[in-house]
Amino acid sequence: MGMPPRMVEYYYPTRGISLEVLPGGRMAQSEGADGDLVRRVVAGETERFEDLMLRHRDHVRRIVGGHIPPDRVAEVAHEVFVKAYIGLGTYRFEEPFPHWLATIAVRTCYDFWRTQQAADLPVSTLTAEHQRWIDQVMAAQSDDGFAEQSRRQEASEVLQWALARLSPENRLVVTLVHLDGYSVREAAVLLGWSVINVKVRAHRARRLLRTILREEVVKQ
Amino acid sequence: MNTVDDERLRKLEEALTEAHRARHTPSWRAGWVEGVMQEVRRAARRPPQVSANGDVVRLVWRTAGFAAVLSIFLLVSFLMQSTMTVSEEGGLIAEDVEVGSLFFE
Repeated sequence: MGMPPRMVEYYYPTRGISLEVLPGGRMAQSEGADGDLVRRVVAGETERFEDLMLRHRDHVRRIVGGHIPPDRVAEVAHEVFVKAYIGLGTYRFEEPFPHWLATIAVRTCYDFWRTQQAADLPVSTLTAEHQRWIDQVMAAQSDDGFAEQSRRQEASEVLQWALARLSPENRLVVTLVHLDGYSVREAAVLLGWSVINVKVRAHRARRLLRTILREEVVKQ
Repeated sequence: MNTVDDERLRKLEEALTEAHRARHTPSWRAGWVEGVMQEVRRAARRPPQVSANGDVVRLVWRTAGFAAVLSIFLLVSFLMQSTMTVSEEGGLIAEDVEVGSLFFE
């Protein structure tokens, strides 16, 4: 008889932490393989880092893709892996490697938005098509109509428009807690902030986002 | 803001959340892995600054911690010493006053 399935926690930005069911042996192999690869890279086998990257690049892409515009994902993911390589000596083997990588990915996304803010780039404006999309969403009566509206390009553009009006800190917290569905505690771990800081900021950021959207609703 | 507006706003928020969850992340372009590995190899050739930096940071923190503990200790000793001096001086003055009052009599 095989080993009973074991639950593996992974930080996936789809809906907070998702639990992957893997046979126990496979999980042990997976964690062992990561640890073994990390040890070999730290010992000087630089080329083994490529194996680590190939194992986890989709995990990093999902995280980075949740925070960064699609055309910049590859560039930021590149930075994440270079940072991971440089900091590999600080990796503690008690925590799963994907968790450690997730914290680097989230903090790199934060740095990205801080740089963007420092560059003082102009934020996008809503067009007549976006306004029309907002009207259609708010008037949607059926679930089907609603789901269809959510998949449209305008949906993502309006979201980016609203998020661009938040500070990098607020933007990251709103994305992690309210859009990705991470708990406050999980977001705090990923950001390296205190739980209370994330809790207060998540509340304020959500209120700010509502105000931004409300102003658009009232404007119509 | 009335209930109708709140309801409209809630729908908009839900649609945006759904849009976020249904987002499409681009696939890897050719040569991406090689690009990262080139930078990793460059970093590997550089002297290990990270561990040195880590050691320096740890040393700075330890020194700062030691200095903080030492200053607290010195401050507490100084305060205790000055409290004792003040109370001793107070006692001496009180004695003077008592002696003085005797002379006045």
